[in-house]
Amino acid sequence: MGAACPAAGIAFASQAEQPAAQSGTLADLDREFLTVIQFANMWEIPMGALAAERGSTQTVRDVGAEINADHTKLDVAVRDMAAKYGHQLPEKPSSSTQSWMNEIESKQGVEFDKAFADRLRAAHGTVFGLIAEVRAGTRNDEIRDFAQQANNIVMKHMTLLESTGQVTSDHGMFSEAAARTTAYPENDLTKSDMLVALVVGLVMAGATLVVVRTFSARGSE
Amino acid sequence: MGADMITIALPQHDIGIREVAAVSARASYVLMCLTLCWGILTATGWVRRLTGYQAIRSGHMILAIFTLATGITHAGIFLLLREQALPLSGITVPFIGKFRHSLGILGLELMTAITLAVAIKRFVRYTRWLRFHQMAYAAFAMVVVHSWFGAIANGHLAVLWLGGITVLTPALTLTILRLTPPRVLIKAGLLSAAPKATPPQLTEVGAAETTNGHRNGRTIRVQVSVDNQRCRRYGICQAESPELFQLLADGRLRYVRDPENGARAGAQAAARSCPMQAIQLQEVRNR
Repeated sequence: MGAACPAAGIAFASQAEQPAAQSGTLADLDREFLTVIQFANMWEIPMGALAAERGSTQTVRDVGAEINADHTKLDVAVRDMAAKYGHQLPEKPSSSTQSWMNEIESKQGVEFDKAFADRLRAAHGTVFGLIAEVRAGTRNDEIRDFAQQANNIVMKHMTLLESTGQVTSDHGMFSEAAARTTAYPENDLTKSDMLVALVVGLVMAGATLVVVRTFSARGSE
Repeated sequence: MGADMITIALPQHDIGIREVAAVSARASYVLMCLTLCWGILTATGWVRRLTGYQAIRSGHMILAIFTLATGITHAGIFLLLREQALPLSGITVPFIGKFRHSLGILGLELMTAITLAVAIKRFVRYTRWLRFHQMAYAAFAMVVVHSWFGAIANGHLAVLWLGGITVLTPALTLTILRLTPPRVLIKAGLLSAAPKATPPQLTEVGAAETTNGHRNGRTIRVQVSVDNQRCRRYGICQAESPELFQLLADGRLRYVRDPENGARAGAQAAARSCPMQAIQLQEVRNR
């Protein structure tokens, strides 16, 4: 209870500072932006670190280290922002980013450089458009500042990755289409999902039988 | 669970396109399940006490058209993507792309052919037309598999799970009922008890009739088919030729498709007397 009071005080103070009501809230696109940044952090931090160590050229190792450092900073910033606005961030990578990580981790030497540069470049290309849209259109001042930072970072990363000379158009300049949706928790079906489906299935089958039994010519001569 | 549908940005244009693709796919799936239900109800008359034959049949046709319209929208919209767009061959030619795409393409094309075949129904023998129409079950199965694999590939399984099962179950239930022999359904109390429906036995034929079946020394047999959609169950054919035609109490007409030679005259009498002209006779030569 004691902990709640200062939080309420801060919320009140910030509201008083910024009378514009929309500044204090997140639009759907703002939330999507924070989630997408967090999805990016969750795989680009470890992949950057891996490239800093396993990259076959000095350029790749430097690029990896820089990406790792930038996303670590973004990670702190996005967590702050999410906590402030009460936005729930994802906790584990989406299945598509997980598969890219597995792919990159499985490779060595030049093949590793290629997979690393290609996959990361495609993913950056994919979020670039969203960040630009948020930067241009958000009603929230803090999100706008954050989007501007993120926009600069993503632009820098795309340039860095291309500078390795390993970016091809194998994966397109955008991530594959399936990566677009990261419905959370994706295809995971829990036991209760199964149970509900079973019940719904039985009810619908029963209803169908009842309809047939009731409205077929049964009983009429 | 559903509140957190997150879309990572592709080119903004493509997000809109893919959303239309998803919405049209879902609409088509629901409509297809309903089309199958209505089709089975049209064929069996299982809801006859609720509504009339024409109403159910019109419903079946309208649902089928909408299924096709939304399905074609779903396929065609992939031409408009900027990233990973499909070429025209990618939405029309099966087995050159992913397997699940092939299933969708085959299912949609089969459904289109079945719908178009309704227009030429009067020019082909009814039973043959009906067999072709019944290939809709295969098309349905292919499209259902296509839909579920599509949902999984896009990470939508958890979202579509319940809705998908809700509309699929009645269609599957009715299909199973349709494939079950009526006497089992009657025994289970689902349909009305037919009168002791002894399978029509052919009566002994007189010598005079037997000669009817010969022409130039060869045997000519006749095959019978009845257009279910014309037949109004007047029962005149049964009066004319009870050994070939029998109206059952649940409203269906049972008839002998391939009668013995001697029953020719009866079949012809029944065909002549049918007020709806629903009985078609076709002569086939014995080898």
